[in-house]
Amino acid sequence: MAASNYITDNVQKAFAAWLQAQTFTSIASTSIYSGIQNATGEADEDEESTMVLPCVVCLCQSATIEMLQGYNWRCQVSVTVRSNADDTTADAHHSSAAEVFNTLTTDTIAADLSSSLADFTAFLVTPTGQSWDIRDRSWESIITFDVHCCGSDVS
Amino acid sequence: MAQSVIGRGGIYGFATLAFGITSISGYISPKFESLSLTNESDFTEEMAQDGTVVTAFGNNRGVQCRFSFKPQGTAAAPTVADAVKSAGIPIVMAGVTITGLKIIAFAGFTDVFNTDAGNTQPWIYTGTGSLDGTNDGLWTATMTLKRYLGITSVTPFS
Repeated sequence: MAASNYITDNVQKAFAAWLQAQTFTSIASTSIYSGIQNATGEADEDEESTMVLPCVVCLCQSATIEMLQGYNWRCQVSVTVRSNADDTTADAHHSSAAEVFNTLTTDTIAADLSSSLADFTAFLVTPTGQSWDIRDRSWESIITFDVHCCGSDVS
Repeated sequence: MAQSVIGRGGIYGFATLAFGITSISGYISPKFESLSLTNESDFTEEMAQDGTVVTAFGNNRGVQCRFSFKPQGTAAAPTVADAVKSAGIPIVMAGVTITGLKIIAFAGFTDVFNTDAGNTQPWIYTGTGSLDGTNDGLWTATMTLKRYLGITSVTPFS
């Protein structure tokens, strides 16, 4: 990627790239997505989503400027683990979600995200909350982060 | 064409900050939340008869840092017993070593925070610590330390 202040897309791509590089028991790397799928209408418009369950969705849609004229950003990120509720037990889903959550809640996550995407530096990653629910017949577990970062490589 | 500004380095957090306090048996460094470092100095102006300042005197009185923290152990020492050990506050004049902070030149120190080969001066506990407990949440604490360029060892009297 080229250095850019369009930081929200960088952040969600960095999270997805880092998770795709890991190995999970029941979630394929091809089922780890960034952003909103099927937004272009390429799939049947009656289909709600093109994502294959179980999946992980990394989403960053908002950021606030952290350092005026310096262009570092504080980004709000959510990582959602979804499983089909029709054929996945609660224990199986929560086990999958725990694997993903634990992969993201490490003391090296800022460096890991920085190395996962070109022209991107995460300075500090702080978890801000988590929740789970059943929505549209899917188990859904969400963890959220604030990411202090910029859209270029800064060492 | 103007060049876009796309991020700059900054100083974020202090995940690796650790205290060492040998005067407390089994002490475990807590989880730090914030710090505030100040330069303690005397600065005096001397005026001529017309009120014009003609001379200034400065005296470096070292640095002071107030740390706020939560008594919690480390990843390697995460038990409640470890958290209790991390709530320890020493007696006034006890020496404290600091590791894991950025190397910053400040008020005559080449590395104002850390205790290392080039900056052997101990941090000295000023006797102004606090331990604040709540009935419905995690306890918090503060500790204020001072460090002087010319004091290279401390011996607390109990």
